[in-house]
Amino acid sequence: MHNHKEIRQIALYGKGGIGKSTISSNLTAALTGIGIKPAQIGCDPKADSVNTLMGGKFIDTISDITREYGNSEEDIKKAIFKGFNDILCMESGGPIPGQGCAGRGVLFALDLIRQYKIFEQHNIDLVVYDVLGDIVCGGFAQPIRHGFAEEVYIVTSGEYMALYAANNIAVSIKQFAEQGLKVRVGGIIGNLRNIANENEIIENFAERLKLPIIQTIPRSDYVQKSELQGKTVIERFPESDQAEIYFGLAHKILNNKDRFIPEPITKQELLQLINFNRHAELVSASVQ
Amino acid sequence: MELKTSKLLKAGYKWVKVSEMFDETPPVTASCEINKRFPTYEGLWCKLIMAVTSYAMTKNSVAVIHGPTNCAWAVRNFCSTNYSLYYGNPFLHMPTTNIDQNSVIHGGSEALIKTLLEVDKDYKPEHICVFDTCSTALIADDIQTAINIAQSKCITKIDYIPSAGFTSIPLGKSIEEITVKYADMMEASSEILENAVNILGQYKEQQDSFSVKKICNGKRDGSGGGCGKGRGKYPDDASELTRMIEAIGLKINRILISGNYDYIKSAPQAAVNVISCPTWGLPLAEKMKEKFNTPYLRHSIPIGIEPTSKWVRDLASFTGKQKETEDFIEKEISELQEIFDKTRNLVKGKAALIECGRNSQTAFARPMALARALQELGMIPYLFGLHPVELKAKSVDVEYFLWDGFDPQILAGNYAYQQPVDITEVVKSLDLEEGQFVYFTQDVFPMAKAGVFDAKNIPRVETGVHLRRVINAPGRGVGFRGAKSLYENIIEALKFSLANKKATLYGRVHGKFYEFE
Repeated sequence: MHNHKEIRQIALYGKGGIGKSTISSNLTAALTGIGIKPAQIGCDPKADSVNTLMGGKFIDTISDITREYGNSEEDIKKAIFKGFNDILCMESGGPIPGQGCAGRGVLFALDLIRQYKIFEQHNIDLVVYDVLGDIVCGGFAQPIRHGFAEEVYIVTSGEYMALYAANNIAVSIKQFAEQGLKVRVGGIIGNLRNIANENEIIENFAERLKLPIIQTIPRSDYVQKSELQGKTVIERFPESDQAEIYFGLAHKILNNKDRFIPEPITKQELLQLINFNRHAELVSASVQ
Repeated sequence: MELKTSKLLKAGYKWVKVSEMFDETPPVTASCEINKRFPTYEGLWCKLIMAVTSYAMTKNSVAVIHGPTNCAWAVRNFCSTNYSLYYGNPFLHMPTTNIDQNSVIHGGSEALIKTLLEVDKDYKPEHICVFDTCSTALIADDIQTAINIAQSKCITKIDYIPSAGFTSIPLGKSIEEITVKYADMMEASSEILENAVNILGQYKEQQDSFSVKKICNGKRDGSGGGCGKGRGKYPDDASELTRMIEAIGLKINRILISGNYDYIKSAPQAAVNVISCPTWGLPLAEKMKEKFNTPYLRHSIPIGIEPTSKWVRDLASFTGKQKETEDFIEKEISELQEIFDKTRNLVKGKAALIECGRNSQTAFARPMALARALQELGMIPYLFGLHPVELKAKSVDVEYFLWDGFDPQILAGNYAYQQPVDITEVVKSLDLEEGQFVYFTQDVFPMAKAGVFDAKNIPRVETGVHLRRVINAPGRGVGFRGAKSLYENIIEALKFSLANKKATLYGRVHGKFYEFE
């Protein structure tokens, strides 16, 4: 019997390497701790999104399965895995670097998931789409463009290129919103890299884009330690401060009803914003 | 020239010089300007279609379509319907890599390598050419690397012609772009053969074609007779050009684009390139000049006595055969003089209404060359039925004729795609009376539509593909013998128009049905 409840679907976007998969995995792991049944869908040909939910194991991707077996419902079931605390884990997969069309692979995989009502069949409450670095082509916009996820969280640090990518994502979302799509931003997740004035930079950036910061996640050794063991912080260090922060993020997202159309800034404005903070940093250093 | 009572005036058509129409027509792109000016016109083509069609002239070769099966099907359908009748290579093998969703996601290079090796093994061709399609171009498959890998495992030479459909260009430009790729199949020659000549922009199929051998009893010069009165009586273009070249003491090296890989490969042995069709020949001539330093002569598509004489003299001056050439020309003209004078006396001062091909496949250079020959007879040529976009697309043709000082009147307007203007309206637009014009029809496609007038009173000369050509022997109009053929056709048409016969069945059935507007 299928559950006809509305499934909440969110997507995490941000620069490549910013920590989306880490946050996604810890978020879904934390959600299971508060009674939510989540799914995590990796939308990246690297197919490493759910790795820490699977005990460090790389799973067969939808793309691998369809290529080897076909795209019937039975075939697609081969790409469904149960991770930590029964989290439904799937990876869209895609080509090896430098070949084919990864964006098309994401679209194809998501279409199959929708077609076979995978989330409904598994009674999923909330889906997290962990999307490749940036909206580099139409394929990577699929989770939001085709109505899979109407709630986006932008992950960024205070580094210039991360902010640049975040701003680009805001440009895309604003454009989609103006085209009549329901996609909106739920907020910014700051994933700190311990650079100078990082909190201020992210706060200024969020303010300029008229977006709230939903959570700031400090840099922590627990993340690396747990990942090296193929686990999330929630699983490996559940009592740690860092785990507490992920639980906090899970609660905030669950309770977040606000949706925003971002107001992206120009490249020039972004540079000014960064330079202002650098200037403040220099002033601060000279005073000291 | 001002239009009179013709409905064409109301529709905005006007007679202008070819150069004016060329200048007035916007650049051929997918722009709004083109769409606004010519709302029903397709204009841009899938590049794959003409790329494969051009390659289809090579024998013992295989075109590997790197894309979905349907791309190959579409090309096959087009080639079969529109071109294969006139090629000596009526069937081109064109297997595909059968790109599907998975190949798009993961890349199609492996499928291409596998297909190339299979083709090499199963077909054992002399040459393989890879054509990419929209899908494989969009995912940027590294085709050259795949070819290099396959090439290391097979002996058949493999080339690549980029042909993604979305990089569409008009057909004429497509031909220009593709023909130059033949230079990539050629190899530089350490020895240049003295007095050896390549003809570019021509087929040589009649030399090999079974059907033509049968029709002409194996005699390419027309002496073998034909399959009916007037058919097979005159040589095809390649044979006539060959005859003239040999008559002045030179020899043919290659006639391109045609033949198998070895034939094409050795084209750079020639001392000089001459051109038959500008669109097909000139870009390749320029490329061969750049790549192999083979000189070329620009006079093209010689129909009529003077253009033919210029074509041969051009070649003579390059090869130092002036004496032989003047003797040859004198002899040929003396043989033609009587029929030339007779024809000229019949048509001098009359209008020559030359209908062009109405769609992208129109052989634009040929009606222009015909108009030049008719002007030589004292007629006033008027071209119509040529879409301005196609004029622009085949700029090589226009530039050649303008370079040669020929710039006739043409009917400019917003032609609907593949729909003709009514010949009776054309006659009205020029305020012509019966007896003041001769109608030259050209490239009558199955969709073509007759004018309303009763053909019994109108001299009508068929110059087009289907009605005049012999299968696999395209074109019969160039050179001195082609001129003779043209003059005889004109005399015959004039004679027929005075015979007081009934209207043609074609005219009676289709005339009013397809009336303009």
